[in-house]
Amino acid sequence: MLDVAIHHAVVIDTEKGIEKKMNIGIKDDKIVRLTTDTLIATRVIEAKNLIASPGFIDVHGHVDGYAYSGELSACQGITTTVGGNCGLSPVDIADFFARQMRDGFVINQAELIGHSFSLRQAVGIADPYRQATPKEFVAMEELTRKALQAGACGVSFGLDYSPGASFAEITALANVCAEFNRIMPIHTRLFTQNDLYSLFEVLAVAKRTGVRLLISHFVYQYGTGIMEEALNIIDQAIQNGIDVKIDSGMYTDWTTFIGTATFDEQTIADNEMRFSDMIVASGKYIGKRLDRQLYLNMRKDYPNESVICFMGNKAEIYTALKKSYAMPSSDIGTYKKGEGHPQIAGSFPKYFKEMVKERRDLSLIEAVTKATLLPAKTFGFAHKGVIKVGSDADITLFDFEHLADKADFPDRGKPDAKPTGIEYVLVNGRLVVDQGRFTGKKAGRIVRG
Amino acid sequence: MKNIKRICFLGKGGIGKSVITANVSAALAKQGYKVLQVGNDISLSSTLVLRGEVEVTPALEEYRKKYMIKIEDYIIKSPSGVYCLELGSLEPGVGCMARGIHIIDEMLESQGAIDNLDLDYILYDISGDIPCTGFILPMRDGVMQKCIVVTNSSFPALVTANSMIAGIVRASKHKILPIGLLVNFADVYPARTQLTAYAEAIQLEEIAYLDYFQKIEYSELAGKTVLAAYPDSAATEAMMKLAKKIIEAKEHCVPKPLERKELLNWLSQWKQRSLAQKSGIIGIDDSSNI
Repeated sequence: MLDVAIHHAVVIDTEKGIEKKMNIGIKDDKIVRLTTDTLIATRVIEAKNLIASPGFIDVHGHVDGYAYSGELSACQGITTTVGGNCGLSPVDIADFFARQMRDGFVINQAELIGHSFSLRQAVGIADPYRQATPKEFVAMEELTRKALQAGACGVSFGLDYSPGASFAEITALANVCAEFNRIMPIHTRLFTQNDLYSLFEVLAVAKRTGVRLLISHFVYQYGTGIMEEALNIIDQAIQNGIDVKIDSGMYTDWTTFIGTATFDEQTIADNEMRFSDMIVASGKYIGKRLDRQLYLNMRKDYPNESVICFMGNKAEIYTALKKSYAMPSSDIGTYKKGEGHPQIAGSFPKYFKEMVKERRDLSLIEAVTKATLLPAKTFGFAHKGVIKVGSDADITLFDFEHLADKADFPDRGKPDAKPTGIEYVLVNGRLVVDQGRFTGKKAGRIVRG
Repeated sequence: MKNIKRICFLGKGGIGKSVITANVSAALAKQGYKVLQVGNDISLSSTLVLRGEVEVTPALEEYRKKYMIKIEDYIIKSPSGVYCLELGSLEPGVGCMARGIHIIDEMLESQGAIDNLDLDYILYDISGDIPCTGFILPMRDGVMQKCIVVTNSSFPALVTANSMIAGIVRASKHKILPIGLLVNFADVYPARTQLTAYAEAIQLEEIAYLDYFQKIEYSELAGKTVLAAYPDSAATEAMMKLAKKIIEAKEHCVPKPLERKELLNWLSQWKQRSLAQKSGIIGIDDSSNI
């Protein structure tokens, strides 16, 4: 007998680009039936009026084994998350995977090896403005190779956090990444608000090494009035044969740790950021608007707390995500309950609600494909991103009419308020969200690159 | 590996900065140094008097098309021996100049061009009038070892020079970048007196003067350096001296550029003195310019 049967769902076929009312049969962790016949199973889900999508794949997150972030991801319909982004990851990937398998986790996790914080720190570079020495290159290359051998799905960079990294340093790790044919997600470095050379320098790395690029949270980088120009550069690069994609969330207001180079006084001045546009996202001062005194205090005593910076042009979110090579992402971080940025709980429902239902920028099938099959292909996750016989039973069932994000910024609402409309989420055939409620089942697995 | 020095020439557009830089490059080459001059003006005219009619392809514009370029392919050796590189500019209205110079400078180093050409000096002739962050970045981030701010006695040129000095001082938080002031047309009243007084007022110790030479003007019109067109002239001699002065190592203290109000008041007083001079009343203080 089947373990789970889903009846009467509108199934999105991401490979053929069609939708069809079907019944889905699941045995263990696989989809084994796709039929109009009535199925008999231990658990039958009546999914009339629900959309059956392959589970969403969040290509840009920082879940990294943190349980509450796993819960918030699952409740958005995410069944696989890619961690270790922006150059911040565990360095010993084999150990990280072993711990995740031993302890279990709610959703599937793939992990990147991160350059800008983690590898640099591991080889003894404390100053983000310093170039690595040739000896340090070699040490970082070795650690990268080890991580990729252990199954890391790529090498991530957060160049804003290591402004001193040289072209040679980035290229050295890109070569290793290309050797393994893995993906290289890059949070680019902008020295001024309109610094489009931040794109050319990473395209140059790709041209030199042949590495496949994913430019991270594109709207946070270029959603400040230069989106069209930035996308033109990407379009041109694709025409020139460079393998590059982008991801983005549904917000223009980004967040990061107050202690990073991004919040250095010089960077604030260079990018014309203002304290009055910054809100504390975590810790003792959550919800408070920054002033100079609070800024100095937090930089000194609370460097690992997050601050949200309000900026950007909202219309550019849609411009970016409409591109065929763009994927939605959350940039979820690790926060305690009640803390954070609304992206941690609202990103994917907001994407469907705004871009499909309200604005009609994308058809439902297009939107689903960009959140599932495109990421699976980009990262080479076999058997994911599609609902067909033989695929992994990662499925998100949602009520399109009632799909809505509820999370808000911490000065005006709950950043971790769960969305409505995500009714069932199956990870490897097990229900982690059941009738809209989180079950806490540790159904996730490690996804190796 | 030689201890290469990078010197940038800044200042208001149209006051003769590129012609001076090219002549200084030629003078340094004549003194036996290996010199590369880099220009980043959209007109590709920084190195025009060095290379004459030889066409250049702007390296940064090619980089934006090809992502990967061999920088030496874009360097031209002029008859004077000075190597010439034009970066080109932005597509008008797209992005920011920030980091263009960094990217090229990193290429020169990482691709071995500095060693291959055995360079002693790179002279960057940087266009632009407003010291925004992008403009100041190469000075701030340690690409340059010295700045020469070019001005004449005109009101806008001096205001620009003052704001550039302010930008460099503000950016040089840890290590102060040596700054020299170069007065062009120093013999045109009241340039010499006025700018000497300005340098004293802002505590800038290094100041050089270049008088008007008809031969410089003519050589530029002929598309040549004055060294090539009039090798035995007083103008050539002046350029040789200027080049020596620019590369001399000196102790520098931090200048204190004037605040806007202070600068405007100061300039207004100088206008009154100029008016007095033009009306035939020459004070004893101003006679040094004559």
